[in-house]
Amino acid sequence: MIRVAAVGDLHVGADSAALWRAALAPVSAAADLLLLAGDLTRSGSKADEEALGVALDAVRIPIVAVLGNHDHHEDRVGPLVASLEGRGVSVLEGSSIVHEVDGVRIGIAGAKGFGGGFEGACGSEFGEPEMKAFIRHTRELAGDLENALAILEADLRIALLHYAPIAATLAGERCEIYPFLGSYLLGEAIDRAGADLVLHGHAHAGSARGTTHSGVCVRNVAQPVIQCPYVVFCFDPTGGAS
Amino acid sequence: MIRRDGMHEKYLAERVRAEIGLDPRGHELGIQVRVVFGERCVVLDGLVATAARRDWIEMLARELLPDYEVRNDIAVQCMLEPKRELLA
Repeated sequence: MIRVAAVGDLHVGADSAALWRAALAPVSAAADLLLLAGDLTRSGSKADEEALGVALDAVRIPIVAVLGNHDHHEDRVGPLVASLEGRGVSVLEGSSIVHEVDGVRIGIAGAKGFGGGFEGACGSEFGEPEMKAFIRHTRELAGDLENALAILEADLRIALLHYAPIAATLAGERCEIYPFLGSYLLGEAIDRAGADLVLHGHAHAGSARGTTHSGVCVRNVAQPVIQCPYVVFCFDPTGGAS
Repeated sequence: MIRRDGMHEKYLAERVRAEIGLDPRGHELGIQVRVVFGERCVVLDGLVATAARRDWIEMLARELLPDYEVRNDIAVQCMLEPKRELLA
């Protein structure tokens, strides 16, 4: 059995580093990989970066992460990524990585994603430059994710995001903020490239489960949604995802 | 403290909510703020990771609106045992 643990929206700061360190310690025995779906820190500050190091220090399995909007707030993504990579964490942005577990290649393509909204109620690249830039950013990230997924040679393919690719896993959030929580462009990209599982966070009041239009399984692993330190997704390698 | 010269009181809750999101002590974006004008009371609601964050938000609200009573209904999110899902 292939076991992939996942959680998003840890929002680690100095006040929660010890809590997360204790909560994540058992994951090394419970799973083969740990995926982090963004918002690893409160604001991406130097203090948060150090707290995150403490939180992840006890994890002994490979960690793959994407960043979230909170991690971008202090405009120091470079040092944050360097610190994570220095600890052996793979940080994806329009890129992918393959880990082999018991002869099974697990491929993860990751991107932060961005907003824009969903079918019937979304922004478009029209009007003011700021509006065009907003949607263009999402479209470009979705394109990068699609390319990363399309070239991924693996037995099990996972898309890792922070923002939501479908509206179904936002159920519970106020409809007015859906355009700030995700974009259908991400879901469309995943459906074109194909995947076995999509993981995202960001929607704290959303729902845990959904599927893309093509039937790809989507899980919102934001910690306030799962209410636990991580969910372990299990796949039977003899039958693909089973 | 929020300057309220000329501000319609209906904007007050959003000003408090925005400050809670921007304050570097926490950056909590998911807090609901309701102002009960007749009682000069601010009601805070939502979910945060630690008791320290809940207390910080209450302190910030008191700093922003010192002449209002602050009711803190913010809960600290629970951390249950890890879950497991078999995917088909």
